[in-house]
Amino acid sequence: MKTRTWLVLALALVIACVAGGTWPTEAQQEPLKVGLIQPLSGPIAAAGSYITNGAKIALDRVNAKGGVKGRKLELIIEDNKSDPAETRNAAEKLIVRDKVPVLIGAWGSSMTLAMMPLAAQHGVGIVVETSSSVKITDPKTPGSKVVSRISPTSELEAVGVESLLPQLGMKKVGYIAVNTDWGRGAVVAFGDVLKKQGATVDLVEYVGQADTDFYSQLTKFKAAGVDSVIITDDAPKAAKMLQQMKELGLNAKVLITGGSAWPDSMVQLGGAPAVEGAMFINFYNPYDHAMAGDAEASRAYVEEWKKRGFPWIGVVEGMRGFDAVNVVARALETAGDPTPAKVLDAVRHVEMKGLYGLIKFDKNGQSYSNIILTQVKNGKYAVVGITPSVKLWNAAAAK
Amino acid sequence: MLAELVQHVVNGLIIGGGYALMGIGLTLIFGIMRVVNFAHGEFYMLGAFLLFSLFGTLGINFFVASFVAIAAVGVAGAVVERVILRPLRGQAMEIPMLATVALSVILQNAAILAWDPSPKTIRHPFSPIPIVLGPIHVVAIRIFAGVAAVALIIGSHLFIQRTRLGKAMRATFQDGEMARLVGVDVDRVYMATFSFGAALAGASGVLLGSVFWVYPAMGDQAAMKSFAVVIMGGLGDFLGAIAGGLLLGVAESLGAAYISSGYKDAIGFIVIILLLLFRPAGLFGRRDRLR
Repeated sequence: MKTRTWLVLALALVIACVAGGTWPTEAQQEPLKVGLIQPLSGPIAAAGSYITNGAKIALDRVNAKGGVKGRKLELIIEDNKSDPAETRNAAEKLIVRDKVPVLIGAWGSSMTLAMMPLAAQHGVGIVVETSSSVKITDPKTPGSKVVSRISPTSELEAVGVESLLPQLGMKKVGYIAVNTDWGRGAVVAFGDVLKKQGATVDLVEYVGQADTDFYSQLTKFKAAGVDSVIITDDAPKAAKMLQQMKELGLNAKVLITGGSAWPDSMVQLGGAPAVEGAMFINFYNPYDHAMAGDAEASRAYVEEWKKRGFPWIGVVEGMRGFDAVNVVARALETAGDPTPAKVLDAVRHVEMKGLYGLIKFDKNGQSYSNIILTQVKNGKYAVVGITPSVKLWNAAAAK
Repeated sequence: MLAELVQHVVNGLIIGGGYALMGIGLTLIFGIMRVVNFAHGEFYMLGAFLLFSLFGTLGINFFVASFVAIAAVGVAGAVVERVILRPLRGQAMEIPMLATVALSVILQNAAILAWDPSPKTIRHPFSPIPIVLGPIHVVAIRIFAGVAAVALIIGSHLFIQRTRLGKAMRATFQDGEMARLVGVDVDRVYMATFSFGAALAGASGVLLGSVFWVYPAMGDQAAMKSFAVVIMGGLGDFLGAIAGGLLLGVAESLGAAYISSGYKDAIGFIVIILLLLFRPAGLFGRRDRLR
């Protein structure tokens, strides 16, 4: 009799344990954690703070609609101090201590590349929201198998503006880029496209991440007589470069790649006279919601950005964080369990409309976004042309 | 060709003036107080941000605002000396040094909270249209920054050489004990030194912050450069800091132009390595003399 009581008790215990997994226990009501790594201090802190703002807007929207499967979504935000080594540390903390099933980050390509091997080792997926280096989704790069990137590569940017380039009439180009994986990758990607069009990249100059003075490089451009300057760098530095071009009397056409600099930020940072005529490769137009993949989300995002009093010049950057959180929320919704492996698989299978355009991932984990060519015209925002993300997807499918 | 070279040298000299100001402040603090000030870059940042707030936000006259910003950084320096460094005096050298590291982190993060991390432009009253001298282009704000840096350097030199406080500083530099014995108020000298050094960093921030832009992490690079300047010039060497600052500015400008702009920031450190190899006591090779 006694033995049987024990057996029954043991059986009950086993049932409780096994069934516990599907019952809505207290543990399951805990929020779902998502790791976000951004530069919140150091030279590119402004960009990181904009992305974080956008991510928070998306987070609050998801939670206002009841969260993910009845659970609240929670962002654990880490500062990578604009530094690759710190990015790896932050990723390790989020994966090992906070046990997040998925990461978003980490703005700069060199930073993202630094944390990829570690994330892959733990099987934790990364949704890359900004970085453009081709290396990140190259299958040969260590850790690329856990990457799902919503931002376009420099190559996609170049391809996206290829049809628009001839009208710009660039012949003799000086290229000035930040000395990181992003800058170095962009020089190669745009160099290829320009060469096809008969333009020559005569001078390539690299600048440090925290540099503020570009007289040396621009003086060289002027002496070489370039007719166009292409810039791959963040918005504040690009604005400074444009100012300093005017100061040195270097008059040339300007194209700024990367999507972080856009007409409004340039006018505010550099002053309208210095930036007049400059052109930009952007992925999002906050004035025309119809251009975004999801017009309704775009409208809500911009309204909320204004309502919260975030700096307007960051709206085009913040959208990356907004989309990234929405992609993660969608994946967590479809993943059976919030384990890293299942979430990673679910992210790769996401197909949704976002502000970037049509978001889905090819076999390397790369999404194709809208590529919009914009310009400062009479001190105001103007669109020169657009290659919609759907068109890029169709072109890729045709190949 | 020659015109391009002259343009590079002029660019380098103007930036070098700012480096020199930073360097003088750091070298004085080290020479007199034996404190390695890792918060030097944050005083630079503070000067720039105060100018931004006083001039950009409150709309006070640019020159008045510049002066007030520099003075305020000097006051902040005095407070730091009194509250943080004085209680640590007499401790091993790394204790106050670590305190300044902490101060640097605190000030930088406070600036992120107070002003947010997005870079600010100071809309100075000078025309952005360059002055053209033959093939050379210079904008007025850079000329102003260069001239003001020279004026501040000469003013600092006169202050140390001619005034009573300056003499007391030099006496303390040579021998703190002896100075105390002959009646120099060493506490006051230390406070004045730190305040003065901080104000010079603030002045550099005001000038270069107007030329470039203002953001919380701007002090990091400036601090690195000022350490480079001080090591080049010789620790505690006033004239060495001036020469070091100008040399660094020109070396960076020419290096970026004729060697590789990707290594611009490394060039200063290459110059340091060469100097340490061949002139380990600094450019002028004098030891323990405040000039």
